Order: sequence, then C-alpha cells, then structure tokens
Amino acid sequence: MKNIKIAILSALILTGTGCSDRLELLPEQSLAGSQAFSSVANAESTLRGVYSQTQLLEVFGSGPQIIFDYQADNTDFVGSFPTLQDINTYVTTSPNATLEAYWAVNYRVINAANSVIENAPGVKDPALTPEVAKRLVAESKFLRAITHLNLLNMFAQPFQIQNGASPGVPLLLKSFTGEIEYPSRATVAACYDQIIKDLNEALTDLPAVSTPASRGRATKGAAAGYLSRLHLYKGEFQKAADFASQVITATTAYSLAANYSFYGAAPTTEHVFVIINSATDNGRTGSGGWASYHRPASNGGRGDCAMAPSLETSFGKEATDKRFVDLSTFVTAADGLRKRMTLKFPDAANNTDLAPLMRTSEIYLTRAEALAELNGINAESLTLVNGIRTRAGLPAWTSTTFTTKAAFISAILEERRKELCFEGHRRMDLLRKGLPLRTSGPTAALAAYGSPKTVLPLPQREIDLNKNLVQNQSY
Amino acid sequence: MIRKNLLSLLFAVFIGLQAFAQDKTVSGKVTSSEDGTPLPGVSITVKGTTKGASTDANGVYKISTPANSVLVFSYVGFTMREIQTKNQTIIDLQLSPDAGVLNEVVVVGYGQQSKKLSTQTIATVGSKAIANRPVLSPQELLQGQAAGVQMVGSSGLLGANPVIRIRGAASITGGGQPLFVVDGVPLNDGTLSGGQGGGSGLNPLLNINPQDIESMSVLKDAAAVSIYGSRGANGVILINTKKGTADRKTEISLDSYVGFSNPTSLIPMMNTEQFVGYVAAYRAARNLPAVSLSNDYYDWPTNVVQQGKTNNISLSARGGNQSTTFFIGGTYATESGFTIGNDLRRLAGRLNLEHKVNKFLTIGTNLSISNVDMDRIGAENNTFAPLTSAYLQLPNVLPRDASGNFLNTGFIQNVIGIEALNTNRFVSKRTTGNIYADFKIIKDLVFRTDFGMDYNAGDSKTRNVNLFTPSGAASRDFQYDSKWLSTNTLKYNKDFGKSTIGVLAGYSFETSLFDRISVAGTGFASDALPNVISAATPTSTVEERSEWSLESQFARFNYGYDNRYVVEASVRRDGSSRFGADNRFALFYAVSGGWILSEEKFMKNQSFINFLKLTASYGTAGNDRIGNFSSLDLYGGGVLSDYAGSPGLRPTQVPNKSLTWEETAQLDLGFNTTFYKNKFNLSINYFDKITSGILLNVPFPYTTGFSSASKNVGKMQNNGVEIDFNANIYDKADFKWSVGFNSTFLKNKVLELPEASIDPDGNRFVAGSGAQRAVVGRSLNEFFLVEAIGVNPTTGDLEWRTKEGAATTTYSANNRVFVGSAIPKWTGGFNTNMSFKGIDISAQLSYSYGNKVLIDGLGFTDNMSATAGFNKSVDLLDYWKQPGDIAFVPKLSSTTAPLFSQLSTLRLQNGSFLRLRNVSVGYTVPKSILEKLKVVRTLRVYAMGQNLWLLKDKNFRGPDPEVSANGPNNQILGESFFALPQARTVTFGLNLGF
Repeated sequence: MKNIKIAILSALILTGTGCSDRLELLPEQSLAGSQAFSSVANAESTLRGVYSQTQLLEVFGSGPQIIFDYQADNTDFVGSFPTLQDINTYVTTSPNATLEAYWAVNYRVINAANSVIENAPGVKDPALTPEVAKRLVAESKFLRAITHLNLLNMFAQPFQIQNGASPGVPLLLKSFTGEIEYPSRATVAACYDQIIKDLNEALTDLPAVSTPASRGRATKGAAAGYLSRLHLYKGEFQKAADFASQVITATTAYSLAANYSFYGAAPTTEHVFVIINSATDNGRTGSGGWASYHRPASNGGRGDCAMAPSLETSFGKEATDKRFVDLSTFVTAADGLRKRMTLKFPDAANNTDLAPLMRTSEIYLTRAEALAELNGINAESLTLVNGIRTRAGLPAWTSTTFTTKAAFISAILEERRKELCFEGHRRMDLLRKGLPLRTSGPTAALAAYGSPKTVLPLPQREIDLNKNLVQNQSY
Repeated sequence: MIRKNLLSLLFAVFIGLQAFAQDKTVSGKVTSSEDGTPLPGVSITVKGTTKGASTDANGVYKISTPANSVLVFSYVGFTMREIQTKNQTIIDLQLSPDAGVLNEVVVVGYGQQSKKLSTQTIATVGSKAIANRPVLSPQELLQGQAAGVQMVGSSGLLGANPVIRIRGAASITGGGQPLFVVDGVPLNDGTLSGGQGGGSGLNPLLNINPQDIESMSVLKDAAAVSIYGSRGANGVILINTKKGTADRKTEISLDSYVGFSNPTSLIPMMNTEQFVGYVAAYRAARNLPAVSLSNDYYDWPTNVVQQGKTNNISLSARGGNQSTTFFIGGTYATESGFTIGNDLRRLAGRLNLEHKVNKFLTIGTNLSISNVDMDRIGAENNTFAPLTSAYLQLPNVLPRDASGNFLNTGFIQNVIGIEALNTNRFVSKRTTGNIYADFKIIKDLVFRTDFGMDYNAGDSKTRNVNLFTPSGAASRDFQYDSKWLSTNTLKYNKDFGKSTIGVLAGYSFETSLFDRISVAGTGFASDALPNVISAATPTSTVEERSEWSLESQFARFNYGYDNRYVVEASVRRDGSSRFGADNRFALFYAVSGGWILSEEKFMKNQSFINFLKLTASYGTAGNDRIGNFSSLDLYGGGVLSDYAGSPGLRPTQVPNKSLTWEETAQLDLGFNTTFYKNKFNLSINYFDKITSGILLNVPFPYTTGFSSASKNVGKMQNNGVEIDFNANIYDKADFKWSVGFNSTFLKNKVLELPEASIDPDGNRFVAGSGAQRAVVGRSLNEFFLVEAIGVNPTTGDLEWRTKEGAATTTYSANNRVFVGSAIPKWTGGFNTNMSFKGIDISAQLSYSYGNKVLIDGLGFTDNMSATAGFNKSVDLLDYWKQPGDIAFVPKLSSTTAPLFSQLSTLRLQNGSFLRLRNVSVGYTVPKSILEKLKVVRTLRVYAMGQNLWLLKDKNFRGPDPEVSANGPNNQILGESFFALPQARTVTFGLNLGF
C-alpha cells in the first residue's frame, strides 16, 4: 500500500508539477521597444541616448577628430595602434578595423536619432505639447545632421572636387525596424543638401542657449554655427557669413573667453556646442579618448598625438603665442621620444574634458574668412580675428598688415589653424581650399589635394555586405 | 474469487514440483584473484533456470541447486565463470578482473548501461587513466585520449579555458562548448570574469579537483546526447565523482606532488644593438632624419618568465558498510605560472555519501565546495600581459631608474613594475552538488528524485598604483551564477526470458540566475588605500541580473533480445525561457540499434574474435546558447545611454520573434570488436552531423544602425571517422604492456548561409574575424588572406599575389583568397602503458594535422616602420640588401616595406604538431615489503613530464602551434595575438594508501 502511494506521488511529480509560467522571463536591464516611447519622459531619455552615443570615441569622442588633425599636418601620430598608424602613413586598407568601428557607431547614432524623429510626435502622453514634440525632433535632426557630416568628412572628397558630384555617404533617414535595406552612396552635394535641410529645420524649433549645460545640447546657436561651417565648406560665403552672424549677434550667449582656462573646465560662452563628459560617462575606451591620445603615459594617457613639425613652424613665426607657450609642453610620447603635446585636454585620469565641437572663435574665424572672400580686406574681419589674436598675446592686425585679399585670407586660415588645432578641423580646412594635407615628407604626394588617399576607405565589411556601395578610388 | 483460487492452486503445484526435484545446498566464498579480498554482491545463477543468489558482505553465498547443475558466477568488471557442481557442497572460487573493457559499465545520460550492450557512442576516460595524471584541469584528461574529442589548450596561462570540440563544431555563433554534467548537475559555464585580453576567459571547470573524478564520459552520437535535448548538440561530458565502497576497510589515500614548469618556447626579439642599428638603417634608407636612441638594454622577455611551481596535496577516505558508503576528499593546490604574477591556489573538498534506509529507500548526496584564488595577468592583446608587453617593449626601455625605482614606460607598460605593485586578483567560490532519494516502488521499478545546485561566484579585484595609472584606479566585480534543478525519474528494468527491457521516464526543471555587482573608481590619496571606497571619483557602478529556465520531459526505452539484438529510443521535450513564446517548446529524439554478432551461433565455433558489435543511431539534439533574451527588441539604459548626468535609453537589439533552437541531426555507424584472446580492441565509428536552423549572428550593414542579429539560418555538416585501437600486448602478472591509438578524421562543411553576405566571387560567408570566415562550400574557419609570395630577389620588393595569380607590389584586400582552414583534418593521440613488477611507465602523445594558425601579434613585431613604438622580431634583420639576396624582409627603401606587416599569409603558420603530452615513470613498492612495515597499505612514487617534446613545422613563427585566443567561440579558431606557450612541466609525486 505504501508503495502504491509512492508510485502515485511520483507519477504526480513527473507529470503534474508544470512550471511553464516560470518560462516567461523578461530582461531586467532593458526595456521592450514599445516602452521607449510610452511617455514624454521615456522619449526624452531616448533622445539623451542619442547624445550619449555621440560621446563615444568613434563619433565625437576624439577618434575621427584626431585623424582629421594627423592625416593633415597638425599632428604626428606616434602611437602603436597599427590601424591608426596606417592612416598616418597613408597605407590604410579597407579592412581597417578602426574605420569599421567609426562607420558603425556613427550610423548607430543616426539610427537612434531617426527613431526619435519618427516616434516622438506620436507619444501618447498628455504631457506631450507640440513644442516638446518639435524640440525632440529638432534635436534629433541636429544630431543626425552633424553625424552625417562627421561621416562625410571621413569618407568623401570635399565638395570642391567635381562640385559635389563625387560619392558621399549613404544617407540614413529612417529607423531600422527589421527590414534590411542596402543604400547606395548619395553624392557629396546630396549629402550637403540633406545635412543643411536637417539643420535648417532644426534651427526653427530649437531653443536658444540657456544654462551652461544647454551648450551640450542642440540649440539655435549650434544649428546656426553648423550651417555657417557647412556653407563655408561649400564655398557659399554669404550664407556662411550670415549664419555666423546669427551666432555672433547673440552676444550674451556667445563671446570669446578672456583666456584659455576653459580647456578642461565646464561649458562657457566660448562654447557654441560641446559634448559633455564626466568621470562616469565619457567616450574613453581602452583604445583612446581626447586626453588619452593627447596626454602622455605619465598623465594616464597613451601619448599618441604629438605636435607635427609643420605646426611648430607655424607657431614659431610668432613664438610668444600663448596657444603654443601655454597650451603645449614637452613630454615623453608613445614612441619614447620627447615630443611637444597639447594641453587642451588635460584630464587623462578621468576623461572629463568636453569634446569642443564648436567654439565661438571658430564662428568668428568663419565670418572673418567669408567676409574676406566676399569683400577683401575689411574692418569687421580684422576685428573678429584680432579678438582671437589679442587673447593669444599677439599683436593686432591693421588694415595695412596685408596688401592682397589672398594674403589676408591665407593669414586668416593660418590663424584658424593655430586656434583650432587638435580639435578636428584641419583636414577639411585644407581640402576645401584645394590645399594638400601635407606638403613635405614621403607621403606628400599621397596627401596632395585630390589624391584618392586623402579620403579614407569604406570598411571592407560594408562593401562585402552591401553590393550597392562603391569603394573609394584606389582602395 | 474463483480466479484467485485457481492461482493458488497453480502456485501450490509449482512449489510441489520444485520440492520433488532432489535439491541440495551449495555454499562457498568468492574472492578476487587479484588480491584475495572477498567480493560482495557476486551474482550466482543456476544455468538454465531462474534460480539465483548473491554473495554477502564477506563474499559468502549459499544456493540450493539440483544435482549436477552448472553455477554461473558473474560480477561486474570480472570474468564470468561457470562451475559444474558435481557432488560438491562447498565451492570456493576466485574471479579474475576482466582484462577487456567489454564488461565495463558505461555512464550514460540519467543512468548507466553495460558497455557491451550499449548502442550509444561514448568515449570514457576511467579512474585508471586519471589516477596517474596529476593535472590541474579536468579537460586535460581528455586530450589525445578520446577519439572525436579535439582539445586545444588555449594558452599556458593558469586557468585558461581550453577549447573542446566534440566531433567538430556544431554551431557557428552559438558557442561550441559541450555541456558539462557533474553527478547529474549540468554546470553553469559562464566564466564570471573578464578575459583580460584573451577572448577565452577562465576555465569553467577550474573548481573541480581532477583527483575526485571517477570517470568522464564523452557522449558523442545522437543516441547518447538527445536525452539532453536542447543542450546536447555540442556533445555532453558527464563527470562522475568517486563514490564510497561497501564492505571494505576504509581506504585512506594521500596524493602529493610538486611540479616545475617552464615555457616551451619564446619568440626571439631584437636587442638594443640590433634595434638601434635597424632603425638607423631604415631611416637612412628612406631619407628620414636620424634620431638618437638610448643604448640602454633590458631583456624583457627573459625577465618576465620564471620557473613555475606546482604543489598539490590531496587526502581522501573511501569506504562504508552494507548500508552506508562514503567518499570524503580534500585537496590543496598551489601553482605559480612561468610568467611573473600568475598564481593560483585551490582548496576544495568533497563529500559523497549514500545510505540505504531500508530495502525500499536509498538516500544520498554528492557535494563539493571549493575556493580558487588567482593572481591574474593580462593575456594576448593586452598591454598589461607580461609576455605580450615584453615582446613589444622597446629593448632600450628600462624598468627601473638609477636608484632602483620602477618607471612608467608608457603605453607598452612596465609589466615588471605592474606585477610587483598592481593587484589583479580573482577568487572563485563554488558549491556544486545534489541530494537524492531512490525509492524501490516494486521490484525493478525505481523512482528517483534529485535536487541539484551549482552556485558559482567570481570575485575580481584590481588596483592600479599611481605610477602606472596616474591618480590610481581600483575596481571590484562580483558575479555569480546560481542554479538549481529538480530531476525526477522512473526507471524500470526487467528480464523476460531472453528479453530485457529498460524504461526511463523523467521530468526536470532547471533555472539559473546570473547576478553581478561591480564598482570602479579613480583618484586615490595613496597607493596604500586598496579599495574603491577610497576613490575620489567613482567611474562605474553596475548591477545586473538575468535569469533563464528550462522545463523538460524525457524518456528512454530499450529492448534487448538474447544479448544479441538491442534497440533503443529516446526523446526529450524542452521548453526554454530563452526563446519567443511561439517557439518555446521543441522535441528531440534518437533511435539506435545494435547487433552483437559475436553472440550469434555462427560465430561460436571460432575463437579469434571474442566480441563483435555493430551499432547504428540517428537522432537530434539542439543548441540554446543564444543569450537569454535574443528574441526581443530592446532599449538599454546605463552609462552608454545617459548624458550630462541624466539617464537615457538607446536601441540595443532588433526583434526576432521567430528565433528558436538550432538542431543537429546525427547519424552514427559503429563497429567494435575485441579479438585475439581479448588482447586487441578496435572501434571504428562513422558520423555525419548536420546542423540546421543555425543560430547565426547575421551581419547587418552598419547603415541599419545595428551590427547583427541572431537568426535561424544556415546549415552545416561535420562528418568523419573515429578510430580507437587498444592492444594489451602483454598481460602477465609482472609484465603488462598496452598501447593505444586514436584518430579522428573530420570534415567540416558549411552547406547554406542564406542571409549571409556575399563576397565579390559570389561566396556566401560570415566573418569570424578579420582573417577568417565561415564560407558556404568550405569550412567554418576558413582563412581568407592576401597571399604573400615573398621578397623578389631581383628588386627587393615584397610581392603579393593578385587574385588572378600574378605577382604584385600593391597590397589590396581585393586580392584575398582562401588559404586554408583552422580546423585540423586529423587529430588524435597515442598512448602506452607498461608495468614491470612494481615499475610503471606511461606516455601520451597528441597530434593535430592539416590546420593553419594565425599569429596576429606578428602584425606588431613585423612592423618595419622606424616610428612604430614596439620592439621588432629578429627576423626583420634579414632584409634584402642587394640583387640576388634571398631575404625574408624587403629592402628598407621599398614602397612595400611599410606594408610588410599588413595582414597576409606571412602571419599564417602551419598548425600541425605532434606533442609528447605526458610521460611518467612510477614505482609501486611491493605489498610484501609494506606488509612487514605495517605503516602504509600502498606506496607509489613517480615522476612525470608534460610537453617535453614537440614536433612542429620548422618555419613556424610564433609562441606555440597549439593556441586559440578565443576559447569556445566557434567562429575564431586557431588565432592568437601572443598566447603564452604551453608549459613544459616536470612533476614528482607520491601516492600513499593507508
């Protein structure tokens, strides 16, 4: 009898005690997609998620920006990373894993931005006012625009080559929902049109700058600033001057800082648009970061980016320049040799430095250059540049310092180089003027204006996966 | 009522008939011929009847038999004997242990079977093979020992996770590790710690003491693995630990050994003179301005290696009586690796206990607890990895200044200082075990309920001092996997005349929780403050949890007829939380059959073949290693989503509701024979595994915003032949010699990859790394590289081959071609054991043939550029100087020089090798001497050498042909940055029995 009881019991255990409900498990670290836009608060979070990804090394966390300086003549890359060395020595190949990551993460940002653009207006939440909806979309369009620009600067020839008819990058304008598409490359001109369109639409709906922290978000000033840069790159000087003016005239919001203490500090009126980093939240990876590349190992960095002799020469013409004397020092670089390196990104321990994507001085220089292109030597351009020169401890220019328009423009460009060095501007500033990236050394021929090697190869993985993509010439 | 009376009547008649026969009682004692100890539980039957008895605890039996009958004595592991009773009433006899393996019992899923009758294909490494192999990780016991099992030690790093593949990789992105089951508990096999540069992480079996292992069974064919359903496709390794022994005096064993290890090889790098000379020559040749380099010299590689040392002491007690048996074991092991800063300490204990409550109920437990404390080092592509950094460190960089203080050496960091000052510790605590109860419901029907658990916690701590990480940094990372499972089975085994049937039915529920808490911070006032709490800036705080569960029903049925024909069927239904609601449940099955030809009448009149069996099986198993929530579309928070101090969300995963198991169907045909006086045993198995619905991380164009998603697409085949041959050449009392050989021929072929990318030649592929890919029509691990021809003796330029086959001095990824596979064509091993009087000698070799290995670190050390901040291989000194030179390296001024280190076949090496894995010599002190001393029962001393000799390609460039930096990752095989070479170890040990 006892055995029969046991038999019944065991049969029950074998068959009866189903635990099927315990198979319904959900993740604790993630939200289901349907939750991401279930409220304004969540939509705001999703937008912040887009900014967060722009912090990454691969986007505005210094990776592409150091390339823009060392592929040109501001920096010597003396670090050990082979994929970065290859770019430095102009022997880049399409399987370059670093470029693959840059491409991937930039498009990840664009996809996340597209998701907000599409879903934010439809959020079912009484707190969603039309103004909030418009701002969410405008901020996302701004981020989509500047990320497309980041890609375009890496992988495409400047607008000046074939007047924008050369291949640009694929434009990604819808979020991914599971159906894989294989976009082809839009022309450079089409890319510029789209980026300008996004920025213009954003400009209308974005707020003006308010708190210091708002300089780390898209604002009217930031959109206007990027539009001035875009038009300058395209050679549309009137528009460049006008958009720059929109920033400059908002004088309470944007002005030149008195000195260079803003490097390594919180956002100030010097900053039109920055990416804000903190010790717990920054784009530093094991591979690098702003301070990591630009500070030596003794400060916790890699010591990879040394000042190039060409830039030293440029500074040397006016050797008291504070941007040279105060903002660079000799340290032991990654190759074990004593090299001059910048102090613009001091915090290699916690990587809290801002990513200085757009400073007021750039806007000044843009307007000065555009006005010089339009009007030759002129008082406003002189005033704008002199503000920057005075701060650097250099004598002001007068209307007699230059005799020709060309000399004036080229002096403004030289000033631009010294002001914005190590911030990722040099490559495009040379190419848009039809100038070679480097003028001496064994790579000079490869770095000449129009040389196919001045642009980087599309990642081989992407070419392999997407038959519609055409590789850049000579790769 | 009438019916009952009828039965009683029949019963009475039967009893009467029995009584009518002239029975008499025979009694006696059965002992072992080996040592004369009584054998309890020997089965005695009267031939041709159902009458039987068995020996008691003292080997004594009593049975009533008709006159002149034949008694059959049988006992597992001993040769059966038949004795004519004639007129004897007392029959004492000795049984001798069975020399052949065929009377062995083999451990199968949820039970055991007679090896002779089993239709499953299982490779077993038994306690004898284990006893004389003092190793630290259980997987080493399988290397070269079992056909169909490829085991590659991924590096010489302590605790490195070796790669095990059973009959090839059955998955692409789904992970290749087999399922490990210890005493019925499927183990968690997460590594609970970062790889620190190596992709393989730590060994999930780190906490298991090999000396506690009774046997390891590698389940290979579908008949064996389908009972493990959705987790069986990669094969299953059953580890059974030592159990108690009934009715023997408690045996106490003490095993102790000490070992010394050295690296098998180091890569020769330039010294300062060579380096400075090379840089000057390179710069001069390329018209670069000369630089002044320091002439200091420090030989980094030889200074980061040392003689490693291992100490191990294990103590165990084993015994019991008729009702209670036990095994209690403990071990303490310390090991320091042959590179600085790499140490391991293991303290482990085990209690295996079984108690018979009454004739219906038996209860028991198998329980192990362990603590492993490691001082870790970086590995492979990590600048904190001692040997990697030592190779790359410039030779004129010194670790210390003039007054002896450590220096910060920059990006390639001062690993000597790091190992002296930084902390990098990992502590693993694990409790694994089960408690069970067996109820004998009726005769032949047993119900077992078994509750198992596996708690595995990993605790990592790092602390970097101010000198190497300015302001200092610390981290602490605590993770655990906690599993419990309940298994309930009913087993019914019954003989009906010549038929035997066995039935198993079961239900199990298993769930596991992963939990992690991690903190990190920077900014320390002093290096003397070790913990994160002292950090000025917290840089990371993580809490993470993830759970999965699996509900299963399973059954197995087998039927045997006359020990000649056996058929078996098994089935398992699994439901898993890992898959979407629509695809949660799946069914796996297997059918198999065996024909024991040697039992047929027509085989009885020959004596050459002692045993011959043919088996065939077909069935399915699955793979569920896709992560816990791969079917959902997800947005994640955390530090990758927050911005400017406020939380954020970002899309992290694409939805795929239809995601389900991948399924491997396998056909196995087996042939097993023992011949010539049971001296030779040969097994040959053919297998053909086809995995379909492969869980593939389908790569998406990045323009989607995602890199990949898991999908069930693709089909792959692994087929091959396994040969296992063993010969007991001499089997005399004082001279025994056996040799064994096993070999596996494996062919892996990717059949379909429908959604994968297409290369310009039209091949569908999935890239595993920059150098290898799975390609339709080829293997899973096909190297795809630009082929380097070498330096043109006339021009001094390096030449590559274009896709069309012409020589070119332009490097282009468009010229990549398939240049070989990382999967060996053959793997296997040889082993031999010899004993002469008290001396025993054994040796094991293992080999791999026909595979390629890629050494990625050569991309750094072969960099010809003078500005590259690394030391260079001495091979770079062999550069072209004048026409006619046959040089390895192009002329220094060549346009191809900066491209010399680009990924090409120059980094690819022949990975074939033959390695003397293990050789040992031991001496067992004769019993006669020990009996006089009366102190110890048994005593054996031995010396063992591991990896003493290696045969490899003479042009091999790299640390070791036996490397795999990526552990269980199926997509990247045979790649290494700079793995630590395998250790060459010499061990001296002592086995004492009391």
